Amino acid sequence: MDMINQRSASRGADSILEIRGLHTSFFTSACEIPAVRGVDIAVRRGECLGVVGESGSGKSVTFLSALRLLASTGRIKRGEIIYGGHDLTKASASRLREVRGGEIAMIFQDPMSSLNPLMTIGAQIGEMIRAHGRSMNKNAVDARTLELLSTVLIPEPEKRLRQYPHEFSGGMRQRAMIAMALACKPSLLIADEPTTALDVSIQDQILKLLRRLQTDTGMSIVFITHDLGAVAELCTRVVVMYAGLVMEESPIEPLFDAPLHPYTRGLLASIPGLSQDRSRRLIPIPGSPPDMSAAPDGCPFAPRCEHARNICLSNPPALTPIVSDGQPDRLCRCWLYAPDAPRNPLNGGFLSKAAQGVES
Amino acid sequence: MTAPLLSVENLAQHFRVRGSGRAESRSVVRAVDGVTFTLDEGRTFGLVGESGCGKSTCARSILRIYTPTSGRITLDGEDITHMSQDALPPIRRKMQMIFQDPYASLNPRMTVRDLIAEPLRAHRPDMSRAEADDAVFEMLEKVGLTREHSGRYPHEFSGGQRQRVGVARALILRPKLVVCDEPISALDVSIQAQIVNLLRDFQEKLGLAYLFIAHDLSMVRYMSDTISVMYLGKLVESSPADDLYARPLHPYTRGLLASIPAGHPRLARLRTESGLSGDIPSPIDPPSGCAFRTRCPHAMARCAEAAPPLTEVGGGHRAACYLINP
Repeated sequence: MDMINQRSASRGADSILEIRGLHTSFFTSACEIPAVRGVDIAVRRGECLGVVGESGSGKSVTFLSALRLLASTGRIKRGEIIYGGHDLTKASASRLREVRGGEIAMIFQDPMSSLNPLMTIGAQIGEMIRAHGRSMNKNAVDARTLELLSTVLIPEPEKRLRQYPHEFSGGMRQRAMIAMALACKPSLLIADEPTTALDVSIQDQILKLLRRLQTDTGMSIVFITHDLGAVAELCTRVVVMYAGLVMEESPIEPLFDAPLHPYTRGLLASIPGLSQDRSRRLIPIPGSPPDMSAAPDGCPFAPRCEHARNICLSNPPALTPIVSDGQPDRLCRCWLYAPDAPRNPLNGGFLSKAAQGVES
Repeated sequence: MTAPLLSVENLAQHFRVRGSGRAESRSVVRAVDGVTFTLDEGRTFGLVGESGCGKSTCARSILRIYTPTSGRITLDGEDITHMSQDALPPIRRKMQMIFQDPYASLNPRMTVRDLIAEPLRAHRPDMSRAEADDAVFEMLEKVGLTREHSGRYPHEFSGGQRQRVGVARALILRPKLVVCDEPISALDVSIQAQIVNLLRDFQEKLGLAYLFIAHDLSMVRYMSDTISVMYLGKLVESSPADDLYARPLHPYTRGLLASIPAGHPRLARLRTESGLSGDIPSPIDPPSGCAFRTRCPHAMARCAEAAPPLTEVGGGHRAACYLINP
């Protein structure tokens, strides 16, 4: 019941960050690599949005673009990033400095390369607090630092804040990064693969911490990952990306019960669950993700898709609303769901399978 | 009953730590400390545990990349524990390794043909260039690549294709034992199942034995016949694969299993067992007695005194904990 209320409430709720028609490319001396090719994502206030995709799907680049943190070889070609009623692509450098870290914080996969090895953890968190214009004296900064370390459940915070990053374990470093991210009470936290480099036991601890922080502070979270299992633990809504495009967008449970896009279905089917029959072969997705320096014209997943038809290879399908099992709020980019697209016999078979859901 | 292909008895691999500034008695890391198991031909032995638990070191000692501190390793009836470097090459033909990162483990300046033929050049000087090429082409097709790929360099391949090259390199000598150290964790999710299926097909066709190391517990269960759980250099539980997941006995195993994402949002909300708290302690200064006691919800006074022995509880299921062995 709670879930249903939350969902219907969030549908009408306003967005905290809206990415509209984003195109981002990287340029080498030889060619242009379109990493993000027209992405629309709205992050709703107070939600935890999972952004799932493989390496090269554009999931990180989308949100690095949103914060204008692209490397010098990357450029936003088109699109708007609406935050607080204004377009961040047109924002001044000083406005961007306010937003980054202050209102929207970001944490990354490898905390070791995001932390300064020559500064103590306490000094780095203190720097963050002071950088955002809070005129606080040293004692107040120290007190806030201690409070932050306790919030992220770092044991013995008084001792820890005088230590250097190399004295921290991987999980503790990620906690310290989260503490830094929380320093200015951001309203949106973008977590880019925060648990990928960690052991499953530590991943579990970090996911629990993020869940608790979200409940306590009400901030919105964007959780970028390749791991659908981690998404199921944390998120209420999911965006699945492939080759620089959003392929599917759905509330969390329907996505796992009845994934719409053949790519999502393939991903869920290829992961052995703990109840997987060991004598049965896994069902992999054939082939490899496309080379983005020669991005395909039609649906980028078509070469790997068992349902591909002629139209898929020539015309890219649009991201369209789908009502499946009475579940609203779902979008899918696939010709299978276009009533006016030429049908073939595979179509009916696929839809009935999708309705049954995927057992994994 | 035939002898097992690989038998590891009380294997210990200690490393001296220099310049740690600690007392002499503490400057030894007991990376592997008394590991015992056997592996039959055509079977898979899974080794799981958090990073730093010693699972990769254990595999490397077995491959004799290190010389073990003590214990005994028997491969195919031969004691290889202290075999000299000169005597090892014929042994290494029988055991090969598939590495985690196909981006780092393939020389970028070598063509795929040379990469796959390299083990042949080292171990089969009797083979002519043409014979080696034929073997390479045959191997390429078996791992799902083609002859046309042989002149290309690693950077021209995707991660999954590179790992296929890694598999081909390991299998070209027709080994009996293959150590797979996290063979899929660097690959994209959509590719992992391809490589896992490839490994299983080879096992079926060639009767290979795998020592399979991974941190993905669902994948280890899917691949392995027997699984051992390792913590700070020691096996804390060992069991036939299904039994371990159905009836985990050691609190560490239970915590690890409870940490795995449930795989479905509804199951995630229903989860009751809590995962593990804290981090793995430093192997330079491990806790006395049972090394897990500092994170164990059931720790008792005697856990600090002596490490509990690995005790059989029936059906080949063994665990090292005073809870099951009072």
